[in-house]
Amino acid sequence: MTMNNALLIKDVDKRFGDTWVLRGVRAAVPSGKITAFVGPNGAGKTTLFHVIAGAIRPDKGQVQYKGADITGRPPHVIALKGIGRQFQDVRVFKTLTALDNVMIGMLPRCHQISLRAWFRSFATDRSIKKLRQEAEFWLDYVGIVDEQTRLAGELSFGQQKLLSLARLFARGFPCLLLDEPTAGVAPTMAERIVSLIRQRVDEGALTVAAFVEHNMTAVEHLADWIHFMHEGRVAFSGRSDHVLGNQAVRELYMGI
Amino acid sequence: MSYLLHLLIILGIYSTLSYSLNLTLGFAGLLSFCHAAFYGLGAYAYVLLLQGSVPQPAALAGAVTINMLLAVLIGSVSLRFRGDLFLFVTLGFQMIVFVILYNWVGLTNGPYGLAGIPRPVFFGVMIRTPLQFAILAAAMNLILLPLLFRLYRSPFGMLLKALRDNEAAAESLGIHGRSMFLQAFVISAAVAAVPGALYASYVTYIDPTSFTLKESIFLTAILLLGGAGNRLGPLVGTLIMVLLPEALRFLGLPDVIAHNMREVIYGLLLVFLMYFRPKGIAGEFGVS
Repeated sequence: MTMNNALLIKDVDKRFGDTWVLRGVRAAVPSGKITAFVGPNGAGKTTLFHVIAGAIRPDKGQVQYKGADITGRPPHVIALKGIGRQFQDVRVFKTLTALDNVMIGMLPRCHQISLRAWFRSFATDRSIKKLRQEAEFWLDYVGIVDEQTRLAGELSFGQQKLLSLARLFARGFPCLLLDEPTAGVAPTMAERIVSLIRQRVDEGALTVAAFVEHNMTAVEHLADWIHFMHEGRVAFSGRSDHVLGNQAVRELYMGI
Repeated sequence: MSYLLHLLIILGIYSTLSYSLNLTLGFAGLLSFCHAAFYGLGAYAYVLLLQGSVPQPAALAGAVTINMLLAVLIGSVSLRFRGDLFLFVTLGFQMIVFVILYNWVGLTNGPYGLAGIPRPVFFGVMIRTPLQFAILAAAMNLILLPLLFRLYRSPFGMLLKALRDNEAAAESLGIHGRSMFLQAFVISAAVAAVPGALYASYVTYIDPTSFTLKESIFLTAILLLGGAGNRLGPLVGTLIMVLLPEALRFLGLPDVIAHNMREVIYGLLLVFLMYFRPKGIAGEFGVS
């Protein structure tokens, strides 16, 4: 593959006890495209997601982002390098408002140091106001600006999915990992989520790696490139129509 | 009158303690059971520095610094864990501190405690009457609480709340959880040294039994009852937990029963609140 790859996964192995979850996984996520990792339950998608995000350290192999080795770096460091992730179970900050949820990711790093945050708190009112406006923009972008003052925990699951997307967009991550981005939401909401992701990718240089189990409609609409995973390996890779049209994939995955 | 002033002083001490614990428990969501250890370490460090002929302001600054250093040490170990395990590790440190204070007789005079603690002197005036101490306790709150409130309201406070709600999600946005938790833990411990020093100079005698696990549980109960994660909860909790036993005195119960009744009422209140109001009376965050 000669295209420019944002993420490169090289021969990644991961074993839990005697069970191999990932075996020599090799895959690439090209820049500016949406790549889907699909496969049946237990294929190793979520483990691979956590390996890339730094939550699980692989036993062997390497993960590269824009040519740099990021294998086993802690999750917050991987985020600082530009890789954002959306969890399958969403994980919004439930006791904060929708607006604060979006602002959390936008706050400059200096606010993580208590003394600096304390001293700067005298001067940050204006910059916070600006961040607030930006956060409102992103809530509007995903269509839940009317819910901005509600606590995130009170929003519906679909709205929480949209909120977590707004959080990622607002932070300006150049690369996103999405774990089951449309799972558990109504079909109309799933369509909206897919079109929002597509829109962001088409708008600029956003790279997406989506990990999807069941929603084939979403995959067809979303993915430019597919890696089909089976029993801890990448069994097939290719353009989405090629992989989804492959008879072996259809047999393994959909039983048809 | 002096009884009321005594109550005000105790309220002042517990209010600072609960507001400092609020940063760890309410904002960072870390249920720590060693806050009384820091309260005690602050008191002991202040008194020992005074006995070493260190001037009072420097002794206070020294006590705060010692607490910070010990909190870095204790926090670095305990913050490798979360939830119940964190609670047990802090509980362990609470007991270790007590055992050290109790057994290092050469330094702390062990169970006999340290007596004859000098009264504080401000601008040439020695603070000795209950009224003067009540004013000093109020001043301590008026200085420390606005500093804490600013931190509560700052983006740092908001980031702590995000970590409290979901650490993995916050880390996925580039927030370094352990470092921020450690900072909150250290600030809580540093602030706790000040009421420790005030308590020591007020009662002029300290021994390890004032800073036991029971005291840590009492401080946690203040926040569970009043509520944590905001500015009102610790005040409500402090008022109820400190004043309720005093109110019971006027019921005319025999001393033995009255003492036990206090514990029973605390327990019942906590059970009742956990069922019907897990966020406490005025809190915004429920420990789960």
